[in-house]
Amino acid sequence: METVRECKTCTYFINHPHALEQALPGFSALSSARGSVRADTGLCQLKETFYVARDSCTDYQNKMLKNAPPGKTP
Amino acid sequence: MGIALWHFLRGFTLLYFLSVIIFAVGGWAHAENYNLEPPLVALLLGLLIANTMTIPPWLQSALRVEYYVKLGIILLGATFPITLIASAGAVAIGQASFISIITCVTIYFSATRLFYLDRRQAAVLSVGGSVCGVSGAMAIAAAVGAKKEHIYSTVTLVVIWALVMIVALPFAAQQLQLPPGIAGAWIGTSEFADAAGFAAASTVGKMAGNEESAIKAFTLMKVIGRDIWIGLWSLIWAIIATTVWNKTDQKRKKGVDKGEIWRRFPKFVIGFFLASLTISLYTTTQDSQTFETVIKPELLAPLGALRSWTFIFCFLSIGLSTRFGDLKKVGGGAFSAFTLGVIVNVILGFILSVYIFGNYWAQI
Repeated sequence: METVRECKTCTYFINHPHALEQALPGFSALSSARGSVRADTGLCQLKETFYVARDSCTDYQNKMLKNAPPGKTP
Repeated sequence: MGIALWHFLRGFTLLYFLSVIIFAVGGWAHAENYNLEPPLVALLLGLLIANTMTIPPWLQSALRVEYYVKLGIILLGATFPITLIASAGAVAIGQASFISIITCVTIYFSATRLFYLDRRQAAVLSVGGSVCGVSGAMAIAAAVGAKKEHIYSTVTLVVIWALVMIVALPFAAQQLQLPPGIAGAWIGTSEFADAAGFAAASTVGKMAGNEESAIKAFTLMKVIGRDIWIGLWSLIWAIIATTVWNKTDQKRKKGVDKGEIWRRFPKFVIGFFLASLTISLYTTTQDSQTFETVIKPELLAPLGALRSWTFIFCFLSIGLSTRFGDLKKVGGGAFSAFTLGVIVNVILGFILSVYIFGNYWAQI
């Protein structure tokens, strides 16, 4: 099955609450990474810009592909 | 929650122990003379510890501000008559919406026209200062394509001002001798985060001898009047970003999606409504004597006590997770624009809560 080229599967995209709190110092103060209002908003570490997991761009890099052993593709 | 249970239990045990101390301080006969209200003591103790010592990871695991405040709000719902929500909803929504729109516009246009900030930064600052703090800023961050540094400034300004308001608003309300319902409504439009607002409302309520009224008014204004509309704000900013800022960006158009209203709806509000509806329906089946002698002391009072504990966990967690050294420096333009919004917000909130709808809020 072909991977959908969206931010949610991109190696540069982080939207786990703990990862966001690490990436944004002070963000944990009011626990804002864990509210449902954040939904699927995350941070692209390449562009240092916020996107939703459904966004996409030409710099997409599949995180599974990056981590796959040599000779294997997801 | 993705946290090791053992870490959470260790951290929560310490949190509980500290809460016992805080309640003991609050129960001291002379605590009132020194305004040692438990919410303030919890916050200040947490801040002192966090900014003078290193918080170990196992304690950080238990600092779940978001979960404690949402649980507290749901427990609050259980003691919140559904009829009050139905009757007060329109006033709360109307007042909160009016103030939020004026404040948002003030911050945005002062940020862009007076201080020449990036419009994306201006957008997250304006929603952060007018709707619901950092959560609000995050809700629209993707819609406007905000950069990491834009959120930094919002985090710093919201945290600083939220902490200032926790102390300033209750004391101002006390000096002005505002009834607790009016003070709660004023705090509901002036505070940025639910947790910080509950700390302020709880404090002012205890100072006035009627915590329930202050918290109910705050909840109506902040949760019903502001929080539940954050998805709509996200949609509106997505439309502005694509139709006004960048008409040709097809990729950005992907962000204009009515589904945002539900995706960003604060789901804990459903729990709040369900708790209120369940208890309200149950109590209508009981006679007044049973309500006074059984339901109030054996159901509502324990729920209220549990809520008090949950909020103390929340306020302690806010203090313990706020390290001033982690906050990024903010430019003068961002600070000025945001502060202008705070001033407008506080003044408008005061006028509407005291003079326009004062009679209404005083009866809550």
